[in-house]
Amino acid sequence: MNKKGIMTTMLASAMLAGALSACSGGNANSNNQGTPETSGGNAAEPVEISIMLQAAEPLPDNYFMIDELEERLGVKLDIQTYLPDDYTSKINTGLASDSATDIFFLSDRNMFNKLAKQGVLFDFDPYMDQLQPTVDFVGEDNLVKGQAAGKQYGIPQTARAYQYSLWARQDWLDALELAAPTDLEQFQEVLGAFRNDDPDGNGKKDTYGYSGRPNEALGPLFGAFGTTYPGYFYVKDGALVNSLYDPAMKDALAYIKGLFDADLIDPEMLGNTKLQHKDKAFQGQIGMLYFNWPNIAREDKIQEYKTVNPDAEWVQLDLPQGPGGQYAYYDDLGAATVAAFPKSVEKDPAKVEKLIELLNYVSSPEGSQLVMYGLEDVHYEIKDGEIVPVSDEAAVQEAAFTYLFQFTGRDEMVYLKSKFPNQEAAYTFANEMPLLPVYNSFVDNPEGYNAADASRYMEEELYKFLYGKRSLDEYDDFLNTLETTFGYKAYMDAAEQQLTELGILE
Amino acid sequence: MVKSSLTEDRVFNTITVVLLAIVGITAVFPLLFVLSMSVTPYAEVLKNGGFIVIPRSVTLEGYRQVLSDDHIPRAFLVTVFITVVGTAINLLLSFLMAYPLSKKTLPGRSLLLMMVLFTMLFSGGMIPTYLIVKATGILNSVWALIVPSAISAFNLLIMKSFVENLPEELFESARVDGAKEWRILFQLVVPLSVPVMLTVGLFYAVQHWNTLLSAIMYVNDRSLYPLQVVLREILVGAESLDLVEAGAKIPSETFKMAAVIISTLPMIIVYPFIQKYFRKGAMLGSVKG
Repeated sequence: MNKKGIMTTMLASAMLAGALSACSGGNANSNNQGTPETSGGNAAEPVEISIMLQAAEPLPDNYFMIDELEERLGVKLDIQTYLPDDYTSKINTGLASDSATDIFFLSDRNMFNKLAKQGVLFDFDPYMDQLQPTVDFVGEDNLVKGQAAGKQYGIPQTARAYQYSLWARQDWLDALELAAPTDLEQFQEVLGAFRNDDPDGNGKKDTYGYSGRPNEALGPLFGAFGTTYPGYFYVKDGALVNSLYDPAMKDALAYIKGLFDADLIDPEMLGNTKLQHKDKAFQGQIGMLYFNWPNIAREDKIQEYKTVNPDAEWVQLDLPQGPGGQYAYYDDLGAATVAAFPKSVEKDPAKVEKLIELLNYVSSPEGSQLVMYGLEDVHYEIKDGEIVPVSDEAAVQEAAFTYLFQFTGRDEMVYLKSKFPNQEAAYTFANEMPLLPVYNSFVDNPEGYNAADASRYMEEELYKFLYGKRSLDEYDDFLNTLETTFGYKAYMDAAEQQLTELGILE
Repeated sequence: MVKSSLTEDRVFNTITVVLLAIVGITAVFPLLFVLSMSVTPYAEVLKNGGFIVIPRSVTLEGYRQVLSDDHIPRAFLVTVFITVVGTAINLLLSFLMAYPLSKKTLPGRSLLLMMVLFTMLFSGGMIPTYLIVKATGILNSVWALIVPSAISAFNLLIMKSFVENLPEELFESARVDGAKEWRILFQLVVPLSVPVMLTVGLFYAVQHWNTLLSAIMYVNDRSLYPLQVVLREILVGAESLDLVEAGAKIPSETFKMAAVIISTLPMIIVYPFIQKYFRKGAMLGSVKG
């Protein structure tokens, strides 16, 4: 009796499993069928290409772009998307077990260097001639971002536009009869008024001046002193400076500490890892925010804060001018997302050829148009020579995923203009934010230097200084510990030497 | 005297009730919060400072989105499959190992038990385990979510100690009556072990229902993703990208919370039905003897 029961269960489960796998198999087949027919004269078996992407959300089923690329290039695509958190471990296990996808993307320079040293990345050097269309697209100057130890192990994507800027509640400024701050003194005054003068008129002291994510929000304040977050290399008056050792760092810390002391900054700022600060700001608790335009200027976001308070009006502000100028943040000149292949594809020249063809295609005018906007008259139309989205909301939604296929990047400003015609002012403003050029990504960590430990220590101590848990008088002690215990001295020496070798320093 | 002990009782009872009520509320509150969030329009949530306990205006939009989503209904089926089939395999294999190990006369028993215990304390690590799964050829299939975790050492030991405590005389009398080993197993031991089966089965089922990491590691085919993977993508996806992709759709809080409810509901429903066995099973395994 029981035996029979168990057998039945097992049988049923086997059948169910069969049904499930048949289901997915069926999908793959239907994708497959379209390819040979339409690609006509191409070789019988399309080359299979697997690609691993970092995506915030999964692709819709049977996404049109996959069919389109398969058809146009005579390949069979296997697209896998993962959240950024899982992406790194997927690459590591994939490369370790020789089952990595044919294309994957690396945006962490340390990891790129490490994999290059391990010899698991494909060397593009012998193929650079064939990749000329891609090189033209991403720019010859950019190639250095995909090099390690003098070899081209990755193809960098074109740079994305900077999205962050200062945002403030215009209606609060109006209510308090304040002008937008232009220098650090006024900046502090405005924050003070937001905190103390009841800008929302509810009779309660329940508002804060400023918020953002801890690793971004202080950028404009460091920037006003001509420096940036601790631990970044830049050139000042012709000499290499690390922000930690810049005399301006202490002044900046003293100023920012003043804001914390006066209780003007969101007390939970250190906990803002995702969108908490935006939510608080939309709920009317924050007067000024350092954040990116898609989260504030898109129509759906405007609607979100207007529902809470119809009078709310968020506007972008110029950066406060300080003794060191105006910088919103830093721009790591060597950092880029690079496309890489596993070394193992070398064994399959036909595949390498197709992979290169794919990169060249999405870099070509035709292919780039496809991966930026989708299909003409389905997802976009051309009106007066300009590309505009179609009026069909479902089609626009579908085209929202095309960004995943921009393997070599895109012509950012043209792209934004056609996708977000109503936000042009916002993204142009953010993109024009002055950024302090830094060189950290060009520095390969010396042996024995643990970057993660050192930066954690730096971050912890930074906030201890700002929250007054550690006196700024101890700043030199802090540097001393960093140099000795965390091996920062070796890192500084390595940076100096490497940046000189690269010709960044004379 | 009598009176004062009555008041003492009453005071004690009141304190107990209050304490338990607090514990109960802290357990129910998050659930209620998620439930309320899932039926309240997001703009309404923001208006109330991001915190809603009793919804004032109700929308089922979140649920409509979840059910018409491309990925959630299919992920739900995958999860049901690995939970049902996985638990059946778990119970079969665990019991087939627990029963012999419960026999003190088994040759090499202590060595086998040592080996079982060893796996509870040490594991091969992510990449070696991945290599084994790959070499087994079940990568990228539902079996990769079932087979590597077919026996949990902890659950095996619970079963073993339960079976150990069944009275030996029963088996002897069965043998006297001429029953063979298989018959003793299936007609005597298995029916007597229903409480532990259900208890351990629940452990296994919850574990399968919550399958997350193994799916991320071993499955590339999106159509085989279980619920938790899809759910996590919905909950943290849009927020985990550093530079928010200008075109990316950010799921609304209402949608997220509706997805949480949909994926938690089945386990919440199953719990009360198994609970009575659950208590019995856990108790029997530990105390009797």
